[in-house]
Amino acid sequence: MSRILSYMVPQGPQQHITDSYVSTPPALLIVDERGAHWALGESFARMSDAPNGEFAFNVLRNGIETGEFASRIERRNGKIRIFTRQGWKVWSGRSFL
Amino acid sequence: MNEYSVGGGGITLANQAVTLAFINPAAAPNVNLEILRCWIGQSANATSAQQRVQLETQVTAFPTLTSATPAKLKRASAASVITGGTAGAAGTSGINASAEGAGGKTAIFDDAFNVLNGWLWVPTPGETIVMPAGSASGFGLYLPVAAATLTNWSFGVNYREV
Repeated sequence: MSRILSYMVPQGPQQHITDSYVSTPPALLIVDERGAHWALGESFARMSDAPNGEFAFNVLRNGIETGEFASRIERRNGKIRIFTRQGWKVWSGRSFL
Repeated sequence: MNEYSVGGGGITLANQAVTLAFINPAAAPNVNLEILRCWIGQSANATSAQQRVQLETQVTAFPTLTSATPAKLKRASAASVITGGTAGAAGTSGINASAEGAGGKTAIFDDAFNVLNGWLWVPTPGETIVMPAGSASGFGLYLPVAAATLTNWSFGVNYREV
């Protein structure tokens, strides 16, 4: 169980939506049009479950586990996508496909 | 593996260059510290501003800090060999320096970020920074120029004892 830090969850009325093409890392978090906060948690994926040559971490939406491990989260063309062992996955509104 | 975190939240910085977090390995023989993650964010406002950041090492004289005890990232872990301290001495950690100390700093990474997005540094497995026990220098997360907004900063450094 990884820690949930303050930046991983909304702290109040959202004032800023992350620009397109921003990626975490190096950004700390991504905020989408719905005000959801996306961040990488502190739980390491096994290296066999991570993209080759990278650490991967649990993907959090508003501090809640999405069940995915990824090395990057990106906001591109209004969609949230993550880079996983299986390649890029896009958030459908319910899960990553 | 025992992993720990040193950091703070809701911090008000001094209007100057500031060492946000400083961890000095213990005297040898002891465990080495492998730096796994560093992050910085602020929640004071939604004003876009660029901010420089450095990962650096510093030799004595070390910064004057607010004591910060490393938090365990795994509940079953023993307490870290690093303990909270205000002087940056070997085997101690602290945050939010009030004075930087006269010791020379050596930058490892220089970067800049937009404060709206925050900053997260995660190395690849081959890029982790290892601070050996008995090292003459400590590891710092450092803002080399004063932040435009001084309130409500959060930051941290995660490390593993190896």
